[in-house]
Amino acid sequence: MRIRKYDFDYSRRQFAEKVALGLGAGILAPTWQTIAATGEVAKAYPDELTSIELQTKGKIKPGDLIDAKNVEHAKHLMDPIMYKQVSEMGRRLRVRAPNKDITQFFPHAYLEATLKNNGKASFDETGNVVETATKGPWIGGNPFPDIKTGQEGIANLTLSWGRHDMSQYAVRSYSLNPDGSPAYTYDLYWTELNTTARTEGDPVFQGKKDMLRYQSVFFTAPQEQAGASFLVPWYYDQRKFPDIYGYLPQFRRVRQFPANQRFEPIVPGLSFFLSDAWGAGDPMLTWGNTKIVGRGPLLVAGAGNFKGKSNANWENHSWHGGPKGKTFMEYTVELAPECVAIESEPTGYPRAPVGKKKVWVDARNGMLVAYITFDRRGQLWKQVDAAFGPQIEGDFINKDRHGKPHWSWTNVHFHDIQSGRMDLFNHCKQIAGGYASQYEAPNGDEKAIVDKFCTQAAIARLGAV
Amino acid sequence: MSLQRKRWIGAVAVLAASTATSTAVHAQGEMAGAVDRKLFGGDFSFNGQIRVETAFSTTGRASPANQRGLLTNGLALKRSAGNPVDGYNSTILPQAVTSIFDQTGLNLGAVLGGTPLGPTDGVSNQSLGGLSDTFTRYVPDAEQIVNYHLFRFEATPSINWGAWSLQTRIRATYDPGSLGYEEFNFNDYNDINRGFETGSRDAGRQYNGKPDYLGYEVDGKKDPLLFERSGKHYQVDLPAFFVEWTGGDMTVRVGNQSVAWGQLLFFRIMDQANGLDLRRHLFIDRAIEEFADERMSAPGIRFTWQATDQILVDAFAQQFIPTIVPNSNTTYNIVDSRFILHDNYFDGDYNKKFNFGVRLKAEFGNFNLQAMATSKLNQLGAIRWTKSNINKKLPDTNTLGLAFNQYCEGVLGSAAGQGCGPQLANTPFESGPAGLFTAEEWFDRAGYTKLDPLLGLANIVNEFQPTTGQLLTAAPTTAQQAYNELNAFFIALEGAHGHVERNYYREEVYGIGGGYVTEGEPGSLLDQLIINVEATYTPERAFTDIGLAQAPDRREEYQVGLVMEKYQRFSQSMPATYMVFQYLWQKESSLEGLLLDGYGSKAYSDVALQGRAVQLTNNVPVSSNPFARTGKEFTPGISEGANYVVLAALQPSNAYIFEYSFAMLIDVQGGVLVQPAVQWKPRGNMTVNLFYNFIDAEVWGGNANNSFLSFIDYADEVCLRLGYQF
Repeated sequence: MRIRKYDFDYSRRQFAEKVALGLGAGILAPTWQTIAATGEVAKAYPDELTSIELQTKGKIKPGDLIDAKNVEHAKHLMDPIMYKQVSEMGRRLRVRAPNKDITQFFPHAYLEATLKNNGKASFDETGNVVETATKGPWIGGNPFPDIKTGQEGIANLTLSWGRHDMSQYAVRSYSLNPDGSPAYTYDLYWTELNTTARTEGDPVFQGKKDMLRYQSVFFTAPQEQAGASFLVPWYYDQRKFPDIYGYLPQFRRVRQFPANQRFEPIVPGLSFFLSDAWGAGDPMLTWGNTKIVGRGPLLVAGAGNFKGKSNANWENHSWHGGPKGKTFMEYTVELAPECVAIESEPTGYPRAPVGKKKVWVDARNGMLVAYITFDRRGQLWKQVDAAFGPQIEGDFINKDRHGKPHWSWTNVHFHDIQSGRMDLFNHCKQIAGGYASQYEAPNGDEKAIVDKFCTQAAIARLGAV
Repeated sequence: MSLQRKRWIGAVAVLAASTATSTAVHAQGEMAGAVDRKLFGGDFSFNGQIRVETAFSTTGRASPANQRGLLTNGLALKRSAGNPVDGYNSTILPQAVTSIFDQTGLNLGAVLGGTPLGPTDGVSNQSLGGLSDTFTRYVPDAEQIVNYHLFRFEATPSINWGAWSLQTRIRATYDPGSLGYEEFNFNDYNDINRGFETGSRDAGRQYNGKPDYLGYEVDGKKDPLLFERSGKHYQVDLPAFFVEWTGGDMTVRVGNQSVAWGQLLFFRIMDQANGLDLRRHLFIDRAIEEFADERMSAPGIRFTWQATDQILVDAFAQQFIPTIVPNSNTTYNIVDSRFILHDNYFDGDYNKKFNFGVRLKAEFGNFNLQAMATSKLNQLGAIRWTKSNINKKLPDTNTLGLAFNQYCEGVLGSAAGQGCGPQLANTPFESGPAGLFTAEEWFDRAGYTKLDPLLGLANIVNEFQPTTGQLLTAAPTTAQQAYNELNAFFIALEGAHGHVERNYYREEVYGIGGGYVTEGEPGSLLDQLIINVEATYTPERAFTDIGLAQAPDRREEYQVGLVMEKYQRFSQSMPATYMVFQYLWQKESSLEGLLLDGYGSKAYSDVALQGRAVQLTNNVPVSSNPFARTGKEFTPGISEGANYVVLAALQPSNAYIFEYSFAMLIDVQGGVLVQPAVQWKPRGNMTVNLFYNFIDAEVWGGNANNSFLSFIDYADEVCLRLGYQF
């Protein structure tokens, strides 16, 4: 352990200064340069930002559970809804020592691209991210690994949601009624395939440089929702709304939906909106007044949350808390030394029920670590609480084609605290119908993924019969 | 056991086994999902639901097409037989008919001039010779409490082998009958007029005993659909049962499947591929579900080619399967139950025909275009008079019947004892209980069915010669002629049942469509308004002739439709409201496919005979002009096409736990169907639907026969559905 040279106020002052001056991450040294040089982050921060014991004055240490009894000591390390969950609703968090291996914060190829392309991104006159040298679409990895503005932070989230060129998530959602009873179980399959901002292979998929990604989602269970599907091809230009095509089982055909239909539940009982995806579910330039409002340490759910060994289908069943003891999944959290708090408003959606969102991104990898929304009255509304990390549990490692661990999200809480509804999203190995999670196209054939999941013909085929 | 039946049983057995397997898989507790399993080397998945569906009548009325809903039940009407000698311009006196038959050498005068036979059931006030009387229909009215109840099981097992998959949906429904139904039973009338012959004949299940609620039986074939088995109280079918192959941008499906095209909902413009199954709840299910339970499937092959991200090519070839209409005397029946509908789907080899279609659809940002061409047998078909083929003589229990029987045997050469049976077999009529008894009924029914009462009779006379001539019929040109003639034969028949047949004709339908999504001030009503226009042209559609002539009435048909859809947030606390406006214009036919020429018919009643103009159907005016002819007087039709409007809205509550919806179908010709509804999903596996159907065929004056909703004007009802998914 290094000698504690700096007090809490030092870090706090430093963070406040960075916010005011628009400076990048790192207290002792620039975070991203430190990462690039050493492969770890600790040298960029004083001890009190890397030690949960110091942050909590010795009240909480790795291996402990944070619950109602000790949450007061960690209140400043979590978003206000998480604090409410722990202090009032019986949620608990398991603490682990901070992960120092930067390779566990990214998918391998994405980290490589971020390192390789560092410094090559800028915003053009329209506000879109471009490769500075060519003025063409972004070439992969985090365009702004050292986040200095809110737009840079949101751009990192938006351009490559899952940080793979192609991701398919087999998702099982357990959605709870306000009384805490499990009421809705949905199986859905989410596909996202970037045509630009890619990390491997052809930098532009099939020459589609005007597009950012294909995205589709369809439900495989239960009966009434099975076959409901939505196709949302995104433009690269983030000022444009993506088109939305939907296949609704009762109509037996694909129909077009309004592009601004992004703040609605997509099936009954679900609190999740398309707008919620990745904390950046809408084109970034359809939101405005985006700014950094704070920096500081935060408890984040990273490595250690994947259930590849303990659950055959990778599901997190450590349910607890809430009125029926099933409202939360137990997360393993660790202290992140610096997270960037960004606020943004849905200026392109004057009738959106959301008045403002606040996202926290980890300064080390630019990934979403906490996300809350406020309604138009300014009241707290919803929390998106995601866990990300490498797909490692014990001696089980789900490896990519480079032999490196796959990296993705593992679970998400979508909590509407106004209505009391909760969705527990599990990133599963497989869901009904044999749809398995994968992050690389089999045999590298990404066109087959588009043909099978990302066209109107595809969603009609995947739809109800 | 036929090979087909063996295959069917085999398929059901596999599905049943799959169901049993998967049910165990699903029973993992309230937080369990639908975990899949391996079956036949593929990924097997399964979803299912059971649902109880009920509709409670708020009018207590039965369909006016049903025996127990007929408007003449219990009504005393006078009849007086017409005189064939003067072309039925007058009613016949006993002396006149004696004279007619005397000319034939038969000594019938004594019979007709003497004391009449009878009276038979329903007859009173017989005149001398029985040539005029008063008839009171003896079938009791129904005070119906329950319109509809059904128990439904559906499951969608599928097996996926990568590029190949087997997709299945099995549907089993059960309607136990009774339980609030006021049923008509043909067997209750076996002791009247020698019972009802048709019920014991080919495809007679719906005309024998209690109603056939769920069966689909056609002439020559008990189960005409390869993927369906059904009976009076059950239906088991496979709306989807196909093998799918996906290779690159091409998808091929082979097997039983449905094809739905077009942006308009409910108005079927581009949606030409499949007919509708109207047996269960007609088309008045929850409106927002469109034809989810009605759209038919058919065996065939479908190719879908995503040529580019923007262009989709879709083509199909399917066995022809017709639209299925409700059976006689079931709640939503629209075919008068005194008419026997012979479906020639099998006997006419229409089941060996195929429908074909191709569609191109292109999306360009805010614009879309589509074009479609189909060659198909029209699923509704065309209906015409047909021979009854029932060799059953006129009853000898009335003097006119007895006289005719003797005439047929003595003059027309019928074998002894057969009377006019051989002749009637060559006409569209059959003598039986609970048939047509009065001319008023004929006129009223013609209007209800959107037909011309005089042309209908004239076509029988003209197109079933020489028999009809031998039976002294004449093609009427005026209302009074038809009236007198009909009464003569109804008296003699002691209940007439008409026979019609349904044939199917090929047509080519060409369609184009275009859509645009508006961009306005963000959040405004004009922002993200989805507008689509679709139109079809059918050069030669074969319609049912409004006189049920043998040749269908072939016309050029045009359909033009507009749909405007909008999702708008009116409240921060509620999800967006979905609103839709639709408009449809059809040049020649109404929404259900009948010619507009047959719309707007008046009824007719002989004021001199009845002492009043007898009005059977509310809001259908009665003509008392004895010289009224076809055309403007009876069937003015609807000129310049039919117009329909749909207004609908859906407001979900937070998280879509409740969905409040409102749908209104306006038949601009005068009718409305209004449906407020609420859906409640208290849990993911439970769905409760409550909706009310209000139907009025005559809202803004005029004649109820101007609206196609006159077929179901009685069916105001509260519907409740309770569904459980597993």
